[in-house]
Amino acid sequence: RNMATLAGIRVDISSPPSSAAPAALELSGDRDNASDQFVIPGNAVSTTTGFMRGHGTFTRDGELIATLAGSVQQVNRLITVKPVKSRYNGEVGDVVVGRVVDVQQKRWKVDTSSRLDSSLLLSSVNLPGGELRRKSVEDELMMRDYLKEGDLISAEVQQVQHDGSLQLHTRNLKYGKLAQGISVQVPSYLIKRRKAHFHSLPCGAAVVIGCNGHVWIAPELREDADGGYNQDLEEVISLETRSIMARLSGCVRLLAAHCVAIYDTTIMAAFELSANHKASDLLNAAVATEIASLVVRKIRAEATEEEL
Amino acid sequence: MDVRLSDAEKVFIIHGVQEGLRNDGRSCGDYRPMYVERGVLATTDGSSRVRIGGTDLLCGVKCELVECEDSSKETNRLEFSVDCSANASPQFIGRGGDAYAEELSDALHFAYDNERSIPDLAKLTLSPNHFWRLYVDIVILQYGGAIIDAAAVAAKAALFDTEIVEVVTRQADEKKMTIDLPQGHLTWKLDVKSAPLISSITKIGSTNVVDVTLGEETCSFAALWVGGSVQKAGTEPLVTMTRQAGGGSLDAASINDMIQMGVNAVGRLDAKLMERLAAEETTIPGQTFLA
Repeated sequence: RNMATLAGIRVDISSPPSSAAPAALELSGDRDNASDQFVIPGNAVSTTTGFMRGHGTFTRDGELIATLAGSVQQVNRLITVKPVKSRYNGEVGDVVVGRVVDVQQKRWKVDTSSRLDSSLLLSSVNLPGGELRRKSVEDELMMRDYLKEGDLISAEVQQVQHDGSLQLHTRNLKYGKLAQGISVQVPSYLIKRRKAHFHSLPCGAAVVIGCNGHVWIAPELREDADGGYNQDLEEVISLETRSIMARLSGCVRLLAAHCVAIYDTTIMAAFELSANHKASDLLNAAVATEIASLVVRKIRAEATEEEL
Repeated sequence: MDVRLSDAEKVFIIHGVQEGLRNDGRSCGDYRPMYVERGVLATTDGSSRVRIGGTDLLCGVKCELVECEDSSKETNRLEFSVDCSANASPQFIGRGGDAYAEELSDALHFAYDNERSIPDLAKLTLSPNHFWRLYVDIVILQYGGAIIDAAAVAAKAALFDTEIVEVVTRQADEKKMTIDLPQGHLTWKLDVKSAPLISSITKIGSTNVVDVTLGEETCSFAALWVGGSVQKAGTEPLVTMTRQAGGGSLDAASINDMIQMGVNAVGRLDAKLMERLAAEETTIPGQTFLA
């Protein structure tokens, strides 16, 4: 008889957690309340005059009023309100992970969880067989062989169009089509922009942290000369690597649920601090809150240490 | 259903299931943590809310006193209806959810449609002309896999929560009966201990899996819904319904294994649910989950 049939069934039915995940972390006292000034739409941003009106504000009777819910940011005399929640706003140079949704004339449309689909031009990808070659009509006809609908890619933002849509490029060996792995979608505002977004973690797996909130967990980082277009779908990832990846995905999810910034340090901290639990236990709300608060405590301890 | 995955991601999921380790660390027989509350809607006679992973649904039970010519001829004491909110998943936009909703309510109806599921059902017949009809309405607020499992849990929890008004029957003219409210406001509850639960067993590659996520769902072609009613606590459930879902076809040889797994899953679900329902605090009148 089939192994899985005989394997035990595990069910856990309980009452919902008494407070939502971010609030639970706040209650643990491990996170201090931010010192930023928070406003909601209609709040006065500043009562003193002489400021310039930035994004997220408007003037009424000479007073600056917020149009968004978020924190007030000031650069010299320019005042803006940065929204707490928003879709991904791309910046040139960002590493993103996106999914191809459409193949069009000389371009792919890529879903990057931005307001509009991003485009990846055929002329801004590396195709197999040499970096600097002109794209021919044959290449145009073979576009779907390289990337088709549903494929995941890592790319860099090359340009932000006037309408806010992004133009991507993959002209670097580290970018391109992604092979086997786990993708985890988190809110883009939780991703911390860093120098490096490709990490080979010491635990034995790799992550690509897309600025658009798409975290890709893979067995290893690849730098294929062919841009990853030739994939071996027969390859079986070892159980050991797989369990590391499963744990990493659980860690990323729990960090996101508790509104903890996501970058290599927090992911690794969560991975190490969760060692006492099974990877599947990270789905449990109480365990997740416990680990998130340990991570926050650890990061803060390290930050104060650096100050000293 | 609406998530798209690349071929490599699907291969990763299928291999993982074969090895018995899924993307979130669960093994094939593990359910995600499930949250069950009851008494969440003040405007119903009984209600429940069930969450499992991304799935979120709400169930309300309304009792209606029906007058008819001959109540022994009217059979449908329980009426199930399911509504797929367009907010739950893009596939439900417009009339997109109607077919799926009917599939769900049909399965629930079928699982309950026997004498063993709720032996108390005869109590709903008040007189030759009167009976109670219970409308069990389920709204899918968010779609995150394992909908039928959650729907059956929600229905059972809501029926457990349902309080029916005590009434007295009196002789009236022409051999007819009338219904009256007695002195004081009294209610009674149905015994739903053996009400059926449903478990969806999904075939991914050649392995059977319970409680699939959206990503895993796209990797499978066929699933089997197994409904079972636990007649006596601790015993194996009695299968009251099996149904194929997911569009693809199943090999006859593999169906036996799937049913067995479904029976195991229903047994475990039922034990945990009864534990939870017994432990839960009594509801506060007028309180809703919105407050």
